[in-house]
Amino acid sequence: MIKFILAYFLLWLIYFYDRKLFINELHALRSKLIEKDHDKIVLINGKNPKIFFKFRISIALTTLCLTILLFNQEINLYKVLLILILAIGIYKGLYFNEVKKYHDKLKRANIEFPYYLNQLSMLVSNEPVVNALSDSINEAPEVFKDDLIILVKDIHLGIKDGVTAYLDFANKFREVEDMRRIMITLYNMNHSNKDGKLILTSLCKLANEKLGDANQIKLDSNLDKQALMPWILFFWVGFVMIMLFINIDLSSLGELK
Amino acid sequence: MKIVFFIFYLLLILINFDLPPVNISNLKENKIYKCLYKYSYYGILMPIHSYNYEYTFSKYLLHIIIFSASSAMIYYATISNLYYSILIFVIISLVIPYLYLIKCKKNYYLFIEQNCFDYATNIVIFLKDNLVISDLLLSTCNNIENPMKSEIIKLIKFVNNTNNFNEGLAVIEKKYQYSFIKNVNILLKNVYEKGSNNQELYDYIFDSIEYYQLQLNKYRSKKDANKKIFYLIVYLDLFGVLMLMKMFTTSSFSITNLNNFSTIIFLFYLLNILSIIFYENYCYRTIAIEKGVIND
Repeated sequence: MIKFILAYFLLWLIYFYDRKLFINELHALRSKLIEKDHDKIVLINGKNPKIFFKFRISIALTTLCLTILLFNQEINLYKVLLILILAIGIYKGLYFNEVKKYHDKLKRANIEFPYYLNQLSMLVSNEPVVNALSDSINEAPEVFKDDLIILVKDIHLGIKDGVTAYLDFANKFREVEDMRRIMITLYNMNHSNKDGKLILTSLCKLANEKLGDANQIKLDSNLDKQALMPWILFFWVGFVMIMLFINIDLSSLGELK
Repeated sequence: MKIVFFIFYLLLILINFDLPPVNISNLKENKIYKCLYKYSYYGILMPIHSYNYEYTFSKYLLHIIIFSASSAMIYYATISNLYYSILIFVIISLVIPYLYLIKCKKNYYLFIEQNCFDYATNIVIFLKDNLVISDLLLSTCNNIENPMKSEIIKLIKFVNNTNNFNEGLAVIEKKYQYSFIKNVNILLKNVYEKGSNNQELYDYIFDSIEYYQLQLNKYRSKKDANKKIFYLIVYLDLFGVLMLMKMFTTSSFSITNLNNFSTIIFLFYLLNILSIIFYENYCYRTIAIEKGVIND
């Protein structure tokens, strides 16, 4: 089998290999293999998307080659299928691991966001939006930090016009509740010709509501967990009862007639 | 069981005369000893004192009589095994100081939290009165208790010496990690640097602090109710097992191996003790939703 694969590979190398064509085809293949949100997720997790994609491919291919070598003599169609599934599993597994990390970060950000918003509303009330955003970076949830720096730069240097910079940020964190609404409010505050007190009041109200809700959810979840604890005690009583029934001497009941 | 007791007595004699292999002078440097000593009666005295509480030996004895002796008696009434009863008595006596320490920590945390709430609300009220920062801090200082009072005095001294208000506030923020303290400090910084006076914002922040406090109070009252239910179930479980055992030892049913069963009941008591430690720890960890002053 292995000779067969090598022979095919050599034939292809001799007769069909063209470097430029091969690279173009590889790019096309990459765009087909790569997931839509791969680059975004990997970047937020602090890795280089290109290097990570190459790592995934090389790990999957290494597994494929090693398992083929391992089953060299006894390889058959089912085993080839199994090996392929394993390689695809590793290739996808690495991606899903990153997705999980990303979702964990987002979950944490969702919890921290109301506190951050509350503080941002304090800062916005006393200074321009850009300065407030810049000052709030240290207190922001971990996932937002890099993108907040980009947002501040975009607004401050005028790289992106109008609401685009705010919406780009909101689109990156679509999963965070009310993010779009808040970004539009911030844009309005920054570009409003009138006194921004009304907008500020609405932002403060929103931040207050979100903070209250977040606290309530956290407190309720703690109470629910606490209410479940007594069930552990029932479990111990159950253990004693089971042991009791096991140890009962049924012969003391006497003979059945 | 007799072997265990023999080993136990032997160990006591060895410790008493400072003999090898249990050399007390070496033992005191042992990590396990240090760790266990931290939660013993003498080990907890220092931290309890730092939380402004006292745990006298008579109080400890009272706790031993109430909890350890009563549990040992219930155990003895259940299965009539003296060795295990004594063991339960000893284990509960060793656990009591740790539970008392948790109680003191909890009360201290609540006291500090109330102190921080007082600090925040007072600052907002005086901000609404449009006072100068120095007057504002002094007025707040007169209205609240220690430790925040001493923190404000330190802040005033620090500002007088270095003229760096932000750094002084950062020290307070680092020590008391509450979101409302950070918010109030932002307002203070703005008044100090820009002299801004936003009455609507002050109203808003005052409302949010009040609402937060109300939420926490409601949460704690529910938590206390849950705790009462938990301990009621603990007692019911102990008496339930006692009734079960009486039923099965005095009725026509009999247990094949009573000695084996005393170990099972002992295990049941041990698991209950562990559950209580776990529960108390959980209750302490979830006393609030912000880190506050919980460092360990």
